[in-house]
Amino acid sequence: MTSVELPDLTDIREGLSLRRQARIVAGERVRQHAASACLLISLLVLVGAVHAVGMWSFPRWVDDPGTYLSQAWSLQYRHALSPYSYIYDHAPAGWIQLSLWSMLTNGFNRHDSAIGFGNECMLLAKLASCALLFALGRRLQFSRVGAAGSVLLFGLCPLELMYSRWTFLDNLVTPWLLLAFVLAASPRRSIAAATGAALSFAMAALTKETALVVLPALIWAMAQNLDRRNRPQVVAVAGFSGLLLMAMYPLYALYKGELFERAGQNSLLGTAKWQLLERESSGSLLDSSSPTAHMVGQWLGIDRWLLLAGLVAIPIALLDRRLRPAALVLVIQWMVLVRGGYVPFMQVVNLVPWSALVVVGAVEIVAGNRRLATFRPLASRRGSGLLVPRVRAVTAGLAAICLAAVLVGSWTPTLRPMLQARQAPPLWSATQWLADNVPRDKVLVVHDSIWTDLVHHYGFDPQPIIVYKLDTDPAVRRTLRRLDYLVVPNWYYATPTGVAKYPTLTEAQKHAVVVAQFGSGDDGVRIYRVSRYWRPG
Amino acid sequence: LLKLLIAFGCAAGVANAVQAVTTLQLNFVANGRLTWRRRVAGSGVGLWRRWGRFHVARAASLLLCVALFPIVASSTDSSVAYWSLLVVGGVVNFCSDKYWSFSGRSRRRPHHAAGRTETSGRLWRLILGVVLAGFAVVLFTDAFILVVSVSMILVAATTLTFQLYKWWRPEHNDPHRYGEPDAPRLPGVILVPMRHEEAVAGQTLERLAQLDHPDYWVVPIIDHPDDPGTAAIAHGKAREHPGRVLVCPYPEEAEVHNKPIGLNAAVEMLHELQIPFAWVGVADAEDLFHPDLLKLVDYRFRTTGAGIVQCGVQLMNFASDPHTLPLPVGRLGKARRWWKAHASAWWRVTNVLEYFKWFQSRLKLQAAVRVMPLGGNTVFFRREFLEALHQRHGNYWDEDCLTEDCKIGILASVLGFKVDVVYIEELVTREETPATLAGFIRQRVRWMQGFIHVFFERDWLRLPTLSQRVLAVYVLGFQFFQAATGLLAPVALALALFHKAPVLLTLLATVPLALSGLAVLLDVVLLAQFGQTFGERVRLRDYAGLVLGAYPFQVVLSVAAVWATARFMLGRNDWVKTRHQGVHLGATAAGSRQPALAEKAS
Repeated sequence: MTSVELPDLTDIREGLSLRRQARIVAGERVRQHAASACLLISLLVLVGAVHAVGMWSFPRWVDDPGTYLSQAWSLQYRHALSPYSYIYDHAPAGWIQLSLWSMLTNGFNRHDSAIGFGNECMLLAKLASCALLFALGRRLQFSRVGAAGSVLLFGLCPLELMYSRWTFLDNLVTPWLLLAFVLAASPRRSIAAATGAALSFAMAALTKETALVVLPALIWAMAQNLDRRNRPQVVAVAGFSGLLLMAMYPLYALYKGELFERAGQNSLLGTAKWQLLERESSGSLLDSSSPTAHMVGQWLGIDRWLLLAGLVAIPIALLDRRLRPAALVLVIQWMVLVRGGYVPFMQVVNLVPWSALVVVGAVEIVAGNRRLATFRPLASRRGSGLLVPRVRAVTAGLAAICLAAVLVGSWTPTLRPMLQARQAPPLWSATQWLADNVPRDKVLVVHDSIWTDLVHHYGFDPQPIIVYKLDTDPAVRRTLRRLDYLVVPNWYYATPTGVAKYPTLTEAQKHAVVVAQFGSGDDGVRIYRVSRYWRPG
Repeated sequence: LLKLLIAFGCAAGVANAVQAVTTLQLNFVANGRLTWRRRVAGSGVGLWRRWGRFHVARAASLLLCVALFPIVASSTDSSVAYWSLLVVGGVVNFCSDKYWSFSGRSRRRPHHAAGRTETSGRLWRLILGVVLAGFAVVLFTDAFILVVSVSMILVAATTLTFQLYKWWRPEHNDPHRYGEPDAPRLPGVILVPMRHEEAVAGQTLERLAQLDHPDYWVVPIIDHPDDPGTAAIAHGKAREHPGRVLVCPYPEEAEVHNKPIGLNAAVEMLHELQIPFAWVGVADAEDLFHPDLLKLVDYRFRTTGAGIVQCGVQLMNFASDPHTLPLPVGRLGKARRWWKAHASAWWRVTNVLEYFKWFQSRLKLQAAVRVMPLGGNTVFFRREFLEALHQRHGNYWDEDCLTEDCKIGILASVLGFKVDVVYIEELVTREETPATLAGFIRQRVRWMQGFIHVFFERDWLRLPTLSQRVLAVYVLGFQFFQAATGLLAPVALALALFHKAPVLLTLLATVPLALSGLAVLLDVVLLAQFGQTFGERVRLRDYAGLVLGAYPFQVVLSVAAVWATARFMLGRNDWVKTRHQGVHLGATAAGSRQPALAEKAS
């Protein structure tokens, strides 16, 4: 073998001006990634279209998006983290991001409803997640087709579509977490990349503190990518920066004098204790009668293919060194369901992207992606050199056909109603009725999702009371003199949990008459006018 | 006027402002035309200058009164405070008018005292600025915290980036990044300015004469009448190594004794004797170059095409181990030595690490962006660069600059010559910290003053790109920013906490302090690496000194910064000497030296 000695290219470049170097590097990057970029853009258009069409009417409006949007609104217009006193229920970075986007783009005024603005934010988050999932796939040495496949699995899965349309903090966590893993797998292995990964993770944790459970997986991913030549500095800087950014949250509480538990006061540690120890458990997935098992059953009712395929793919993905941390993320997120603590019903948002990644990774390993599979017992055997690639090509083909079959056979029928829903949400119709028929000085008890619109667009003053705060916020209880209208979905009165959780509401409803009605069933909304002679106790 | 304006429907605030400005101008005119008419007529001070002074003085007295009001009002009645401060303001205004705004003396007229007055003027302006800034802090604390925090974050972040350059990407720290040097080809000369170096001269010259390079001269520069001892040693070595060592006499006619004059004279001599050379290196009298150093320099000159090769210099004596110090004579020698070693370790260790960071990281990055002050020794210049410098400035090294090494680096960037920085652990030139804290402070004062000097010479304005000029300001002012940051970080946070600033602002004020913490953490990591690299044992108490001494070290830097600024303002340019004791050389070369940081004999 002959070898040609090339001069060290970086040295030659050092002779050029910094600007010229930057231009050369940028040009190289563009050429290098042109094909991926074209592919990715078409994927994003497809996924974005599927996400956006029908997102106003489907799914039904639930309370959490309204809460977060009201808090984002309050940050922009009242410079407070919540329209009520902030109770440290979640770290605030999620709605700070929503609020910043609104400040930049005048978000709350561009849309008729705050929910519309929230939908827009979720669309952006979804697109960012897709792009980052593609990048992560590529950095984990997936083929271009494989990376595109994981984006399609993630972006078109009906279960993900439903949950990612809701303005949940978890949907904002996903891109930050993916970004952290993308940066952790950076081939340059610079301090900047590692610090970026740590800061992204900190952002994820500040967006929703539940992201902290995957910290071991991120540390594993970062440890895999360390280089002996700059390891101590990378560890020190990245670790410190991540901790510093996360520490801003407890420091905020500390400076406000709300870190430690004290009677009659909100505190970060008090709420954390409640969330971790005292909150009612949803039971373990393994107990078939538990709420968690019921919830997982509901998810599988919408789509069972991706979640189960993800579970099956975990052992195969563990064969590859670089895929192991991603597989660990998925394992941890499933363990949360098994553990038996409180599980929020949007937990599925944390399962889907990693399932998509792990499934495609497993297929790539089976199909014999040489850069990926470190474990190749068949390929290493002599003589089977011809047979193995053929077997693998067949497997890969089969996998692709299966994917296509799932997409067409199972997902298309599920997706169709999600895209074609056009009926106005009952809560939106109720808002319109209130705006047309109710004087602005009446005291309203309302569902979270319409609160922002009533305050921002229709100027109700005194500001309406979010139904959840009626019985939980001492400040609200102190100033409560009368109630005029009740505007919440029917299930608040109909289900035992609703009645138990909202006693004042239930009592008021007994002294009220229906003045308008929108939709039917549990999600329908009846507007009640409360008797002038009834006083809240 | 006020009533009139309000009657015409003017807003109260606007009316008040108009009224105040009018009153002020009337006041100025009345002062000039009536009260101080005679003085003004005979004065050399121009109208606009008077006007400027008048307004500055009025603003200052206003700020003073407003700042004092809450303090006085809290201890007395508010109306008492109001009237008494009005009186105080009146007195202050009268004095400022009489002695400053409308003073009859021009600052330019008496020529004999010009320098003195000019400098004291500068000083007064500085003091006035500080006082005004102090009032501004009291009045606008939140804005002050904001501005200070943001600028400190910028400084801290850039400092960290600079010092981490070597570890930014793994390739930057690759053991083979400098290549394998081949056979040397370029002839060269090493200049060694010496003054009263009997203790180390022989050893240094012996070592320099035996480096691994076929074609080079060693040229000690010695003032013969002033320093016959060193001269004798040098001539002895020259006889021992003919064709290798050549003694250059320091110019007799020079009144002043400093390093650049000697270096210039030596280069002139090389030209006269027509000695062939492609590069010129500078060594200090106690520098023991590694035998392989020249080979590498030769190789780097040829492969990189650089105009200057700067090799690593490393301070070594970080340890609190008393055995590294010479035993003092007298009673309780060991105890005194123990105490001295431990009491000074905190600043020595930081100083040692500064060099470690400076030569490995900062200089590399600055070379990459092409703005850099050089180190004073183990630096090699290509002949073409020196010629270009001579053509442009009629001189090689600037004989009037406190930090001629810094200046020559900036000039290299201006002339478009590339600098190559080489730090290989085995090849670094080992040096020692100043012997005492006072010596260290004096050294810093000299450097900082030199940097201010280079800044005001404005050569950096001729750098080709804007980013280079911005970086030059940053590099030259860096030590001042750093000192200010280190000092202010806890102050800003404490201020934010006690002042009950908004929570966001307090969080922001926390960040610079946290970044200082990160810097200390990185120093600890570096100290461990330093010990590993050079095979020195680092004890727990060394780490403790590093961590506990971090803040006091910043205070020391700030003191030096203030002193340097004051000296520059006063126009004092005489040298502040550094004394060394030869600890890094081991037992062989202990003794005092007064290195090339020469002094002005005026």
